[in-house]
Amino acid sequence: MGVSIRATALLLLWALALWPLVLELLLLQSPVTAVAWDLRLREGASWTGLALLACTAVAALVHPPFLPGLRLQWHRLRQSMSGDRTRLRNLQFELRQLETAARQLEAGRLALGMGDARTALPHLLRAVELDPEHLAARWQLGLALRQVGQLPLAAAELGGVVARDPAHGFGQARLALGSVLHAMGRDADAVVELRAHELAHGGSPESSFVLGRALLATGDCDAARSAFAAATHWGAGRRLDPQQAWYRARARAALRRLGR
Amino acid sequence: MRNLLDSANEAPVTHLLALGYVTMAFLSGGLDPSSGRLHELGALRGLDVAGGEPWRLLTYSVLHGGIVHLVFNTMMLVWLGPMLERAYGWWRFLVIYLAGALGGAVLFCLLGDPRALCVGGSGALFGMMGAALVRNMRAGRHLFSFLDHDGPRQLIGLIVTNLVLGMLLPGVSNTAHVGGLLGGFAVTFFLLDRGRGPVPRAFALAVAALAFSATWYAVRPVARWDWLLGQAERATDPVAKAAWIEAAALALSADAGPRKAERLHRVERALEPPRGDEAPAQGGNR
Repeated sequence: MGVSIRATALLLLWALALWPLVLELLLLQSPVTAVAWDLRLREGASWTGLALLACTAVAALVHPPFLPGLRLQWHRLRQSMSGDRTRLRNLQFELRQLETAARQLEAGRLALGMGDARTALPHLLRAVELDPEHLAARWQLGLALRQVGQLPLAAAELGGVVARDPAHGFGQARLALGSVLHAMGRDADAVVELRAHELAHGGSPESSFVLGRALLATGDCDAARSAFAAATHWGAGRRLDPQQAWYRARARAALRRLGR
Repeated sequence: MRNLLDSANEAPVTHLLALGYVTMAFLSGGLDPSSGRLHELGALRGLDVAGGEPWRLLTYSVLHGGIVHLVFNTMMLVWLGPMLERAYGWWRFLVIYLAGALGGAVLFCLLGDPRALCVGGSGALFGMMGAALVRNMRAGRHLFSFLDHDGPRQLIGLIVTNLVLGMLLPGVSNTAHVGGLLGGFAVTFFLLDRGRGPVPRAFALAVAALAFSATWYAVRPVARWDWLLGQAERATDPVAKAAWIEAAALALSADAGPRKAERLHRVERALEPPRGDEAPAQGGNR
């Protein structure tokens, strides 16, 4: 998302910068053509702006998770822009002098916290190489692999962590494993992991929503409905963090589709 | 006197600019200068910039429209200038001032009425505020950590207050203020104070290209009615002249400005065939 926003902004800047040049070229043909194209561009820009506004309004009405989704993207963008890169750069410099698994893990964790999984991955891989029994490193590696779309490798890492310590990260490793298994289409396994997570750690909108999706994929509509309903009951009367609010909104939409 | 000399030694460009403000105020007629005199001395007007007088994009920034205008801008310059000049050095400070002035002028030419006259250093002063904002952004652990402190928050408050005042007070061009702010911010952020992190070169290049092309378009607004009409007036070939006039009329058709009727009348006059007792070339000449 961050990359696509940057790419769009760059594209817009270049399009605006090149427009006077295009007008000069059109002017060589005829001044009327240049003015006509300029007017067309202005009109097109106004209509595009209006259409974007209308699309946003329609999307917010038709698909209620749209606004929580926007809030989540804004939160992620802000996190990636306000991350303290100085600490990461210092660590990367120090790693050239003295390399330890703990420092590699710290660097990977910092990069992952800023949403930069591609920078985090080599650090986390090296941390696991240096200390294969370091569960925190394996967990972070699993998360990074999930973020870059390497689902089978992520499942293997997270599965290894859960096998050694089922409550790792206060149950977050198990939840991540359940999500990855669901994303890979192994819904029956995902249901087992997510139910175990909810039983041991009480669940969250995210776990209930993913459990509902996995149950729906296995064909158990009633169980899926109750999982989605559980997700919607989370945080009643208080403001959830952007990620959990997004899952709750998606659960509400899924419940509406299924029929209460 | 000694204090003033010490201060001038530390911030020479600020003091030269302040001296320039006062000198130009005397030259332009003191307390209440006339529009004609300001125009003679280099006030900004879109029509003139497009008509081959690009220096107006900078010269307007040392002229002022009256004593209140002069005092207010000089006070802002003397308050903010030395801080920035000490922080960045004299030549960088000069670049910031010029970028603010240019940014304000270009945006004024692009969005404002091409016939309106604009004077004052406030565009450049807003550019200085943009540079101060960058200074604060670069000083923290990350770009937004400056928002945790009172001083930088007050700076943002000052910028917003000035913009709101610009909207409320008549005869103030907020377009030039915003342009100046963007100009000063961009030149400091991408060129003068790039911080410790990796420089977003793709963005810097795109912003530089945009600044160049916007300035180019302010000087040569090839799709604006007044520039097209100027070309028509200069053209000697009747076919080319008709094409320029047609283009000017088309550009005007989309213009809903307050002086539309007057402009349309001008195009209509240009479209009229020359009378029998006039030489055809004279009608088009300025």
